[in-house]
Amino acid sequence: MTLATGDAASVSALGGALLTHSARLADLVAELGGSAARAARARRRPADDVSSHERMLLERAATELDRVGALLQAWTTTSVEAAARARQLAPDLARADLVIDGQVVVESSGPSRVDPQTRARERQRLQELLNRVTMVRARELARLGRELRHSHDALAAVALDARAGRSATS
Amino acid sequence: MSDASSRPVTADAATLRVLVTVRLETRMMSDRLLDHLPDLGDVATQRLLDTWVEQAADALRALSEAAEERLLDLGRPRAPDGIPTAYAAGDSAPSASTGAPEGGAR
Repeated sequence: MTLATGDAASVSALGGALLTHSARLADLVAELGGSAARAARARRRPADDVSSHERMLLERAATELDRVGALLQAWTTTSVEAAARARQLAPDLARADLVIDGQVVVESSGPSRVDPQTRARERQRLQELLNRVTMVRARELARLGRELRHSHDALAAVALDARAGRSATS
Repeated sequence: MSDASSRPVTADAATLRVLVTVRLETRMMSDRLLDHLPDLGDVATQRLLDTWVEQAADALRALSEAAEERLLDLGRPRAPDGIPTAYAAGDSAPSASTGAPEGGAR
């Protein structure tokens, strides 16, 4: 029985790293902001904010890392649950000499002692159950894909603004 | 950092220290992101994720470059007083006490 679910641990590791990086970037924004505020008070010149551009860039990057990190963590949960639900079908699949190939329930190779009609009925029933599992997974994958595209563009704009030395709107 | 003429030419030591930290840590984050090999189990989405990781690493690298240019704009190419030697320009390894530990989710 094979249901392609990827490697949840590797996705979770990336998601966790992104959330950690995002939190650290937010800390750096706060540290820069605190320094700027102290400097302004000391000089009594609020205009002397030398790090406002960097703070804005860091904030925008932190937002994207946090968003995608959270999505990957959510995906990990979905993936693990999908694999577990697919595994629950294993006993019924074995009784009817059926296997999962990709996202389809098929007859296992070789002769079978299972009544052909029973086998066909079970195949249809188990396929419907498997469809529910794969449908949730497909929906989450589509959502993840959309968010990755959107976030990619946002990060490209951050990189562009950082290299251009200007604080364009996000 | 092309509008240096409109910017103040001085900054306090604390701001400079944080900018040095930003330069180093964003660079390290960029490198660390590229060490990850996530496997989503779906070719199309995997491609999007791989591209996203590359873009995120590039954005973090750009932030590091921006911080470096800001430090140069402020007329402080050398490490200001009080900054650990590990943060001196050109050194990519920060001291353990100020680095960003990488770990699990918050």
